[in-house]
Amino acid sequence: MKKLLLLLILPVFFSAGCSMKMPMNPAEFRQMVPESMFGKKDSYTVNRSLSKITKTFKQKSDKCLRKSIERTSCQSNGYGTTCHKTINHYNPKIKLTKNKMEFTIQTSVEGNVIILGGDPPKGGMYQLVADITAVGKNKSQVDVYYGWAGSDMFVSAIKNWANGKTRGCPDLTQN
Amino acid sequence: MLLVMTALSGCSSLKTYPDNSYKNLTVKTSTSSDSIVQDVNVYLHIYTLDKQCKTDYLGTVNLDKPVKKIGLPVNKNLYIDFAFVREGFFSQSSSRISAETLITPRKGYLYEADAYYENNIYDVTITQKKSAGAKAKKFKKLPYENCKPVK
Repeated sequence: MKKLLLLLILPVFFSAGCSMKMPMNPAEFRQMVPESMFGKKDSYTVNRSLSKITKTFKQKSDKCLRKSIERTSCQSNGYGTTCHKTINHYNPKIKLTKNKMEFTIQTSVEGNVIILGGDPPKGGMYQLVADITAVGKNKSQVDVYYGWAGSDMFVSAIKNWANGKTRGCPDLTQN
Repeated sequence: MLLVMTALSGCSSLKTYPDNSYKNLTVKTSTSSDSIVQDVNVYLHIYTLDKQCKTDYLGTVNLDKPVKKIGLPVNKNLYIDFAFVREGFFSQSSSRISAETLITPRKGYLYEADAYYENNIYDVTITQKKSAGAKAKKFKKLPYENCKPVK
């Protein structure tokens, strides 16, 4: 039986350019977003203190995002059905400095996958970087850098949590 | 966690939960799909846990009605898994996200779970109370990793 080799190619957003390079840290990721065709940056302010936002993110990120999501997609060619299975492991991290919280989500993928742009960093490919900076006693600036199709769920979650809306978790299977 | 997830993810071996004990769990389910070609179904998978934290699958309840009453075995260590499954009407693809907890139902206690899925946000909250008229308290969900094998 023929072995299926190339089942899924990850659409790494920064691969759209002529040179493909995997960002190895949040700084490189931020730098690559404006250069990428599919990179996006959202900026907004929220009327909550950085300490409250940090508390919410600590509560929610591990619970909601430190997950492994299995996906199976099947395709029929009229004679039979082929199913492909991949598992995404999500790895959220919070790094605190005096007036700023850096929130990152890395993703590693298990399955028949080709990753473009070189070997990913430890913890997986960077999927999103968010900087939340205190700009007042009860005011914070949120800057979210992201790429790939499929980060919308994280972007909404970050907005909800920054605003103090904490019900439930995003359904990561819809990414 | 991955091993548990893999072990629980198969759908072909599902069996109906033999629900014949005292109904101590009420599950309220509300779902809505943001897609006209996908539906969200919710299932409750119930497992017992032995001293080594090994799961034994008891069965599944299809939470296809707004309210269902279920009997969980009391004074037994259980692992219960609320699975939200999105299935397409015209495709064979599906996705599944879970909210699970360890629970040891106590004799005489009543439990109520609220399973919610809307706008791609899912949530399960559980409360417990000592008797029908008593005040309900929040039950803190515990992931499978909190099960510690007895040496």
